[in-house]
Amino acid sequence: MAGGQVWPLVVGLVLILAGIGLRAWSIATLGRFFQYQIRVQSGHHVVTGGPYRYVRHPSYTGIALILIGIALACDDVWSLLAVAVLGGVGLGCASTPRNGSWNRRWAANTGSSRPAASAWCPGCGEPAGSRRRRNRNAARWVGAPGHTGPVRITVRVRPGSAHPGVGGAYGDALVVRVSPRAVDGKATAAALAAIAGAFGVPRQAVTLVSGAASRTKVIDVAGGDPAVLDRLLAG
Amino acid sequence: MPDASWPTRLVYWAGGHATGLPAWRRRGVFTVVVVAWLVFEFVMRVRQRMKAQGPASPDPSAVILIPSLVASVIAAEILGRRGGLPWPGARSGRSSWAWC
Repeated sequence: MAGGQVWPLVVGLVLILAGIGLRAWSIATLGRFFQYQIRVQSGHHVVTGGPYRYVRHPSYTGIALILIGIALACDDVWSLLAVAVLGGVGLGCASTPRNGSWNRRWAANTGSSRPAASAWCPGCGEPAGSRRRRNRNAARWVGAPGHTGPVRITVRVRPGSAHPGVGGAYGDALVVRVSPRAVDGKATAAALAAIAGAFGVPRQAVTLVSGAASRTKVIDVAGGDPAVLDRLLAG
Repeated sequence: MPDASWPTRLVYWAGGHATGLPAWRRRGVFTVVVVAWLVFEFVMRVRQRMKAQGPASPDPSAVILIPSLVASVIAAEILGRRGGLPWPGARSGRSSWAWC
């Protein structure tokens, strides 16, 4: 029995456990929105809390940690290189869903592109100024539990209405009646403008979170007064 | 292994006293942790699938991701067993007790 080098094993096991923990954290943060297959669900929104506050793909970062841990525990430099090449190719492809319907549906549901968080680790590969941009985006991309900021409301849009206005409840949603029909996003634009007027905030303060192509939309109103919302729902 | 130093005993124990067995048949901390990871992934996949709403979108990246992950783990295991380039200060006589 030869003497052993213990650090690759110990570090490898720690990395594997850290990777599992990071993936568990990601799942706990996203809840039902964490899926192994790409799946845009109702109520989808950008989450900026938990590990997503620091990286865009924490679950992939977790897999990377696990793979590096396995390679270290195998106690050979070639193992680490193999993992870096093979695992890097797979994770690189998976974390960049360039084509397919996902990006289109995502943009349709959120009305914007992704937040500027680092893809793999905090600060990794961030171009100059992107951290400042991300911090600015954090006020707009609300969705994580415990995140404070704008008032988030669910609205039910009724396009083509002869009597435009904001008021009343459809289930838990605020009813917004607009004149334009649901063509080319005109009804959505009119609804956002109507909500801004009802809350007495600038149009720029109203952000569509999800439901661009749906009559039921989730909207953030920066600087919105919850008391106004209560009054509108009652009206 | 009565006279071995504690690092050697730890690695020996963690490796499940492996002597040339395939990785999936060895017992030890490493194997337990890897199996725990696989179980975790399986349980989470089923759990999250049950919570999902709406159909899945086509995901061609999975065709690359899963095979590459499996291949990387297998390659790491094989290369580790061969021991072509051990980490600095790594063990010698690997073939008699290699655990990975």
